[in-house]
Formats: sequence, C-alpha cells, structure tokens
Amino acid sequence: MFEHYLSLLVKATFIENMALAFFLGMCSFLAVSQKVKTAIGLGAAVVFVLTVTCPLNAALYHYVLKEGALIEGVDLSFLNFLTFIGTIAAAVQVVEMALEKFAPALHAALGVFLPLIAVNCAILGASLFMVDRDYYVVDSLFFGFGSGLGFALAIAALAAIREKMRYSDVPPALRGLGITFIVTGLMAIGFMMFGGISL
Amino acid sequence: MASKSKEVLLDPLLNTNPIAVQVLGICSALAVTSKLETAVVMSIALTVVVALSNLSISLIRDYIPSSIRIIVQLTIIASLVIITDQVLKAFVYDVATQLSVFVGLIITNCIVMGRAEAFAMQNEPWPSFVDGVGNGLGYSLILISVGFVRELLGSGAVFGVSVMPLVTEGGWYTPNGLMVLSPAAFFLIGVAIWIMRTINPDLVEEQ
Amino acid sequence: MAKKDTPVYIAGFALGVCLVCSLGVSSAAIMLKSRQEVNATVDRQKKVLDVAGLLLPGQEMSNDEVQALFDERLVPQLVNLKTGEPVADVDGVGPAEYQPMEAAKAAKLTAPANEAKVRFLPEVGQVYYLVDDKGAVKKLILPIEGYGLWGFLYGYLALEADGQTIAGITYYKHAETPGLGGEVDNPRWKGLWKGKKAFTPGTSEVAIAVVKNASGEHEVDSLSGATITSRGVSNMMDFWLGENAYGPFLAKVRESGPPAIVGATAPAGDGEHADADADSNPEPAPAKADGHGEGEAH
Repeated sequence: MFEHYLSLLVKATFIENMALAFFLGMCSFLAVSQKVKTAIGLGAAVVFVLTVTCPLNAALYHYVLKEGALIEGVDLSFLNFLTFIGTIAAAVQVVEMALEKFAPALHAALGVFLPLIAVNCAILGASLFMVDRDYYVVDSLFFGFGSGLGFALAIAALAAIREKMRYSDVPPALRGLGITFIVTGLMAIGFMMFGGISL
Repeated sequence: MASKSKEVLLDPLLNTNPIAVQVLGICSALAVTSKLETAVVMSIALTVVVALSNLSISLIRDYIPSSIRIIVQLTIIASLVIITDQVLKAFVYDVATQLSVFVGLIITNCIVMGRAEAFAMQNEPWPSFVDGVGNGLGYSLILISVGFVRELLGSGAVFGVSVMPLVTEGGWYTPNGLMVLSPAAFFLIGVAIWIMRTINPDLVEEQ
Repeated sequence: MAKKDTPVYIAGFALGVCLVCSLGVSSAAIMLKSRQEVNATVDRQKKVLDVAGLLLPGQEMSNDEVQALFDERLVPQLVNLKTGEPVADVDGVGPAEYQPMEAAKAAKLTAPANEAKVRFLPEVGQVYYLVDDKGAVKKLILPIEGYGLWGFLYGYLALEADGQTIAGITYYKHAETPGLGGEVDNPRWKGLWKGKKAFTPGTSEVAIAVVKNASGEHEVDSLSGATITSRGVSNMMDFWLGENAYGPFLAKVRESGPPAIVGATAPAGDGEHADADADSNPEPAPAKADGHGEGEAH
C-alpha cells in the first residue's frame, strides 16, 4: 500500500508535473518567476494549499456530490466546479487568517501569494484531475502534495534560469515574456523525458 | 460612444492582447490548441463566459459588498462555466470530451477574473459586455492561430480535413512531430509575442 | 457605504447570489440531462459499431440512426469471467444496463497483479455479439483497457465467431503522445490487426503480440517511436485474453462456437445455473487446465 502512495507522489511530482506536463498555473508561473526567492515563496504556498484543498475536495466529492452519495439516485456532480472553487477560496482565506495569527513569520513570507493562489488553475486543476482519475481521499492527499511539490520545483528552476538570463543578449522584442515562453517550452520538452518511467 | 465601444472591442486584439501582452489565461491556451476544432470551441466558450460574467457583474457592481467581492465574482463565473459545460456536453459531445477538464478551468482563467475585477467593477453594463467580447476575441485570436499552425504542420490538416497529405498515408508531407506536442504552443506564443512587439515597439520590456 | 458593510446585508447578498446562481445551474443541468445521457450512450455505441466494422470512416450518422443500427445488429451479453458461462443478469440488472467496471470498482474487486496495470476486475464481464439478420453470431466484441505511456487506454477488441481470429481493434479514450503512441488511432495500424490469430492453435495460450518487424499470424507491427505504448497494447492482450479475464469464455467459444444468446430472446433461467453447471460440465475442463498452466508459467 505504501508503495502505491509513493508511486502516486513521485508520479505527480515529476511525470505528471502540473506546470510542465499539463501547463496549469501558467499565469503565476510566468508572472512570479523573476526571482528565485519569490518563486520559492509562491511554490511553498502552492504546496500548502494543494495539500489542504485536494483531500478536502475529494471528501466532498465522494461523500456529498457523487451520484448516490448523499441520497440514493441523486447526482449532484454538476455542482463540482462551484463546490471546488468555493472550498479553495474558503481554504485560502482560512489558511491566511490562521497563518497571520499563529505563524506571523510564515505569513510574512507567503502572505502576498495566498490570494493569488485562489485563482491558480493548478489548484482547481488538481481537484478536477482527482475526479477524473477517481482518487480517494488518502490518494488525493499524496497527489495534492506531489503536484504542489512539482509546481514548486518547476517555478524555482524557471526563476533560476531567468536570473541567469539577465546577462544574456536577448533581442529586444523577445525580452522578458517572449524568451520566458521559449525557455518554458524547452523545459517542458526536458520534462517529457520522465514520461514512460514506470514505478 | 460608438467609437469608444469600438476601441474597447478592438484594443484587446492587438495592443492589450490578454495572452500576449497581459500574460493572462495561457493555461488552457496550450493544452487545447493541438487541433483547430478544440481551439475554436474553447475560444467560443471563453468569449461567452467572459462577456456574460462582465455583464452580470457590472449590473450588480453597486450592490456588491467589498469584503465578499472576490467570492461573489467567483460564484457568478463558476455558475456560468457550469452552464457552458453542460451546454457543450449536450450539443457537441465529442469536442466536450476532448476538452475534458479545460472547460472547468475557465473558472480560474485569469482573463475572466481579471476583466471582472479590473473593468466590470468600474464600468456600465454595456461597455463591460463589449470589453468582455473584445478580450474573448483577443484570446481567440491567439488560440486559433496557434491551433491553425499546430494542426497544419503537425498533422497536415485544417479542421481535420487533410490539406497536405502525409507520407504515412501515401502523400508527400512528413509531419513535424514537435507541433503536436504541448511545448510547441510555448514556442509559437513566444514567436507571436516577438512579432507583435517588433510591430509595436512600445510593448518591449525594459531590461 | 456603511449600509453595504453590515453583516446582515453581506449575508443577505451572499444568499441572494447563491440562490440565483444555483437556480440557473440546476435548471441548465436538469434541462440538458436527458440530451447528455443520449450523447454518452450514442458515443459508446458508435465505438462498438466502429470496431464491429459497421461504421465507414467519415460517415456521419444521426443519433437515431446509430441507436437503430446498434439495436438491430448488436446484442449485449454478460459472461461470468471465471467459468466463461453466459449469465442472464447480475442481481436483476440485465446485460444492456450492467456496468461491469463500475461494479468492480464499487465492490473493490481487485484484479490479480498484471502487466496491463488493471486495478479492478469484475466477476461478470459485458461483451457484445454482432449478429446478422438471421440472428447468427458473427463477431464477439470485448471491452479492454490497460496502461500505456501516459495513462490508461480504453478500447474494444473484436474477434470473429471462432474466438480465435481478430476482426478489429479500436481505442476510444487514451492520452498517448500525439503522433507517436497516439497512432493507436491510425486506421492503417488498426488494419494490421485484421485476420491475426489471438491464441496458439489448440491451446489457450495468448499468442498475439505487438512487436517490431512483425511476421506471421500472431504478430502486429509496433508503432514507430512508441515502444512503451506498443508494449502496453501487448500487455493488455495478455491480460484480457488470458485466464483471468475473457480466456475461459473464449476457450468455450473456440470449442463449441459462440454460446446461444441469453436474456430477452432465450428461455429464462439459463443464466442462473451457469455457475453450478460449470463444474459438472466436462467439456470446458481441458481449457481451464490450460489456462492455469499458463498462469503458473508467469
């Protein structure tokens, strides 16, 4: 059983990397990757929120929304988007308040990124994949953590490349956003190598 | 008023294109552009959602308490997306299954949220609606061009109809395998930005 | 401004927004539900018609035409995978409505360890018979699934009525790399399967395999640049045609032809004795023994 969870975790982190294999969370991936330090901050916040919301949404889906879960014959699964996004927004809010009260240092580091995350597609995407792939609550805990870790790694790597790239002679019109797209494309090709690794 | 509407509508196509200039809403742009058909359906879906969400949020903008502003916007957007998803599943089932989770991800598409927050909260319903259509079209422009290039070079076809017969089917065109893979979308958008900024040097970023 | 920030107003506003939104969403869901269900059914039926060779490429058919053709030519049947005997129903659910994989998942019936990475295996599987206008069974259509490179591939395999010759294969859902593993959709490659033999003659050993430079009647050329997807397809054949899945059923078919159709058109009660009959019936015994032998060899 442990092996199953480990494989799920590694798969979510590397093989099915949220950012580089599914291109989710791209808006913040590109916008917050200028400095390694902020990139790691956002990455940590994503890991945190995914680990909380993914199992929470899995529980809601399996015990409330799924056909026949609440009342026999009632299928509420069409409400999944609304429920998931609500859970995510609420979880982000609660996490932010809790951090502010109990861990001010962590809040100072992650605080600015938390509201951004409510509309990060990687967070909602993970919950939708959870439904699509039939993960149960414990599965999705590992899946959420792994996906977050994968996203954090990818954004830190991109930020490191962009920091180095400041010294490169990039054509003016390609500077900034343009070259970032191309670098991300190359990173994605690199990550495709993980495909086919069977665990 | 008419010229203002025109400006609001046309600006997002080139000068403030949401994908190329504002870096918004790229997530879905990459995954659904390997074929033109999915790119077009996705574009229509997003344009409808962003236009209607702008309209409805603008209608109630004076009554929204600021403390729950974001969640109210999200609720409205999510409802519109669910309705769109249901309509797609009912009328274009094939495409809807190919789009899978990406229709749902319109909710978190930064264009929709971004326009609701930046434009619809401050403007009258009609301009907000036009702004939504304009941004939707700007998004569609990029999405459809990327989809067109990827399908043409990757599978030698347009809308699934073979234009350049493939070698494997007895024709002459050897498909470019990179184009059907997702990273190709990054390269194409990167090149599109390059072209746009060469035409319009105002957009070039400072070193 | 002050009025807008009172808790009562905020709660009331939130409630109002929720009411309006939920009303819109629910009515859309309810109004479109029947249409979506028809779409999903027709979609599945189309895939079965496709592998049965009844759909010509590029042919457009309306939903009604698909359903009419399906009802006319295809008969869903239930088969007990262990014994290979047809079953009339499972707890009163007939062949057309029974969903074996969902049932297996709900009951957590774990599949024995297998290369195809199939997690759940039902006790009773659903197959389709393709019948001609006289009601004679022409082809058997078996649902298959298994892991490729990026994820699961779901499809159907069609066998001729001899339970040995492959009539066609199709995948309706997969996430393989477009242009490489995604070529499992390529009609040219699917065409290679037609006429291949699934089993070593006279035994229940699965012989069909996807290999490079295929030759002979048991081998299909692999997809170029997609070693892992090709291996996945091979593993899927091993599992689904093997002793744990459709193997016993197909052994019976090879021995004595496709079993008579049970259910609506056959006398009731046939299926209820299927399990009891299996042990006392001497005929399928050799096939079963072979199946076990093959299992131990792994």
